[in-house]
Amino acid sequence: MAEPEHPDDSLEKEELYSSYLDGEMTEEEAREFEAKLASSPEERANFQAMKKTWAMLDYLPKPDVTVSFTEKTMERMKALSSPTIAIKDYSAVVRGMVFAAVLLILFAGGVRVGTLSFKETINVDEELIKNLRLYEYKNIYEQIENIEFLKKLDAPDLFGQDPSGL
Amino acid sequence: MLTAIGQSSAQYALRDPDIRLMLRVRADEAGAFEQLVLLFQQRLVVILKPMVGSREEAEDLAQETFLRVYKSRKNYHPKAKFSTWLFTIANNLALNSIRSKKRRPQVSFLSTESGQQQQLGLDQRLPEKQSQPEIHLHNLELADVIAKALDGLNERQRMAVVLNKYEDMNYADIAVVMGLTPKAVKSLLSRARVNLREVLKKYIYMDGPSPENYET
Repeated sequence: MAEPEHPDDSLEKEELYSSYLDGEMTEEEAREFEAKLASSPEERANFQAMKKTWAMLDYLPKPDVTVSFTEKTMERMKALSSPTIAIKDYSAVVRGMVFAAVLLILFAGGVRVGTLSFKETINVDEELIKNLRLYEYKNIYEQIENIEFLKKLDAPDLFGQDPSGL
Repeated sequence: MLTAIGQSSAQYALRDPDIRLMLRVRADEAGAFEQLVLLFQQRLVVILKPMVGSREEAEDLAQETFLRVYKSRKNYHPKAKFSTWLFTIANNLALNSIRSKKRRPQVSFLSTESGQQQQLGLDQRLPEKQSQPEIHLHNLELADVIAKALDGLNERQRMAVVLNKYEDMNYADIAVVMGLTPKAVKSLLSRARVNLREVLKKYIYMDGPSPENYET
């Protein structure tokens, strides 16, 4: 009576089938395997069943890639190279910078105008102090027609002190 | 350009035209990234759809994979085949997506090509006791059955299967993509094949010869 096959022996046998089918055996191993198949109809049948099973996988249709696949992949790749979000952020930054520049210009203009007004005020005050005495007699001086007349007024023979002491 | 990336990288680049294209992407060369997307979009979706179940979700993940590639382009230093690196990113994204779906209280479903969603266990998905000669499955129906069988595998087995079957990757490359040893990949693929055989055994001889020549 034949001994029942040990599971490990069976596994090893199946691995041999696989190795042979996949061309993973050396020439010597392959020759030994072929000799074993030739001498055992049972092994030959098992091997043929495995070979046919493997060949059945060729009936499985290979899926075609959808037409838009390449285009979509390239779009996603471009999005990686130059992210749209960053571009939007960049635009926002530029807009912000322009707004800030306008504000700065307006502020600088305001400061300049303010400074000029302030300086003008100082100049006017200085002028006033310098010519204070002139301004005090402004009303009188306005009645004098010219400088010659003013000098004559200063002449003693016309408006000098009265010799009599009056 | 090659002197700038070091001798080892240069050797990889010389061998792998995809690496050369990725180096052009790294250098921000116009049109290079689009060329890369066009070159790999179909392959990524083919790998990702069995992982996540729907084309829409597979495309979302494929797109995310490309964007990860683009974001990390400046740090790209070729150490293996470009496709291995690309599928490593895709695998991680797919596993994260599957895990986050599991964390959410969401009913697992199968999305078939016809758009139907089913909430059945693997054993329930396939007719158990139908007599074989009575059933003639058309290719579309057969595809549905195979999709369900694939969906019955765990995600690691599924990824190993699709990388091996549709990308023709060897164990070493799959190991890099999945962060495993080649031995572990061999074991994963072997178990996946056994599971698939169990589920599909009722169909393997009933619809005529398979698309491939079975003779070794």
